[in-house]
Amino acid sequence: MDLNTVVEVCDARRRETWRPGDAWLGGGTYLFSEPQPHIRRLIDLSRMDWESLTVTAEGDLEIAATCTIAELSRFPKPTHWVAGPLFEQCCRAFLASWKIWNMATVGGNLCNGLPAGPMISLTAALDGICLLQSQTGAVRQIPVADFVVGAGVKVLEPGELLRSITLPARALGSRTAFRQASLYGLGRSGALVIGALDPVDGMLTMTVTASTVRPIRMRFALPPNAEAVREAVEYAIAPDEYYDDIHGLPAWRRHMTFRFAEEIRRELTEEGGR
Amino acid sequence: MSFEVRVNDQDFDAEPRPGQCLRTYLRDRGWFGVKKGCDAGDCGACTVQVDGKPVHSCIYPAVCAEGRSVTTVEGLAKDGELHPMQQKFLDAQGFQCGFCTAGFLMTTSALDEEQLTDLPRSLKGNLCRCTGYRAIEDAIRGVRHTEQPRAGQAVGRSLGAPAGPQVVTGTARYTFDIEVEGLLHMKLLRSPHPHARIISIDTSAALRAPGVHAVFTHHDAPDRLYSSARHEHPTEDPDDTRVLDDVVRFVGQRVAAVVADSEGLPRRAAAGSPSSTRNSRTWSTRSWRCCPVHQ
Repeated sequence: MDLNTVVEVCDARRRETWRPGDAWLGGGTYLFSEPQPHIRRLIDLSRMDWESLTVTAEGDLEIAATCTIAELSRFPKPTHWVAGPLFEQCCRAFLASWKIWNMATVGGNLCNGLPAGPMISLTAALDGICLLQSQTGAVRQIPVADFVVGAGVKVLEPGELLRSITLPARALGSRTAFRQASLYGLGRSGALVIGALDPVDGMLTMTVTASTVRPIRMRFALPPNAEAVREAVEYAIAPDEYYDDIHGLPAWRRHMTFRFAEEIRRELTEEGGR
Repeated sequence: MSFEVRVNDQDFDAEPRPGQCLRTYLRDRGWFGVKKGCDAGDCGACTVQVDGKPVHSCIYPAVCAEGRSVTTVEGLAKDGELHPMQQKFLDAQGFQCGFCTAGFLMTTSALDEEQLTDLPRSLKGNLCRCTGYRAIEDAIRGVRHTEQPRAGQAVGRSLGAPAGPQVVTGTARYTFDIEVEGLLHMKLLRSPHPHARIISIDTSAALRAPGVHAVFTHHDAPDRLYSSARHEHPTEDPDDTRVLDDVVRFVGQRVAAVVADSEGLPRRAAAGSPSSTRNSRTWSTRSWRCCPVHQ
């Protein structure tokens, strides 16, 4: 929709002083989907020409904030990325149409900070690190799981920019398991749990999103039994951290979280698991 | 800043407004085949292709179309030949009212073989409120439903809708698909209170805003009540509300109407900065004051 309170679109390359009422413009797919009466200027990132996807010398994957979902989905994943299938599973967890993938960005999904943001699920589960850049040019790094701290709440300071997300090579080598539930077919995620088995030390990490207001991670140094997983979920997620909105009651989200965690435990730690 | 965009092989250089989406930019240039549905990226009625890729133009920043090539449903047919998908939608009559058809055509004409094997997923960004999708799937699969009976044999046969060719080419005209000289826009200022009596409304600031033609309040409304809950029989529900009333009874009830040259202007004129003062139990914006009741 037209954002009629916006009076100016600035090219982000000009690095103008950040003012109240400014907002970073990625693909625009969220900003233009709701009235934004508080926004006066859009700081357009579309001409930054950041390399969307870079494999570093260490084998890490650096995803530019402006990388579109379509680019991430299309990017050929090397066979040694055992976690490769997780990318498409998470892209397909979007409620949005594949057409939206052509404009929506990975960074935009993180910065929206919604519980059901599947790029949050993906990057949190693969030990993603956010690179943040302040207005003064200072940079800091923060794990994705600590970047989103509540439903729609991020640790971003005013004017701070999410520049990129880096997925370490080691995490990309993890065997993963993916579970997602929605109240209706192809709908918005009400619960999404990802398990990742470290290729070096065999540690199992489970990452819960969608059912909770923020990403919640649980680590098991040794293969857990069902009771240990149940206790971990019970302990890690406070009752008021189950998200409550039209896409699922907290009790249902909680139920699905326990169920998925157990399914993932079996899949990744038991003989005969897929 | 110069702006250039190619739409259906025609060049345009009108600069978009800041914050304008591609949908209104295209419609402002007369491409009425691009429909306004949800205006929020969900229904797909506004789908166009930018450099061959389908996007929802209602959530596509118009400035991002700079230097790009846009195809709307009006540009799908080439050299007078319908695109095969347009012909298939005609053959299967993959529409009823046809409002969503442009979006379906711009989406389905861009599907690859793999996407065609999973239509529920490929079409989840396109809503049709008439067909139930069966006829749309038939169209995509190349099923033909229409017949062309000989003269005098048409009764009981499956004839295509007379407006079909216009529907699939985006030339059928729906509400608002018309350029009106001197068109004005109206925005409503709505109540933030579930129940309040308006003590005063000061419209002077809004009226001073450039491009604003009129501001209507309960002072301008006829002193005549109508029922806001009308059932079948006029006597069943009380006449309770004026068109613009000095009492509001729900959050969102209209309080004032601002009429201006553009859709953006009245919004800014009507936007006050609400501040409540607990002691006096009054609420004010720049333009109106009221006293909440039962709060």
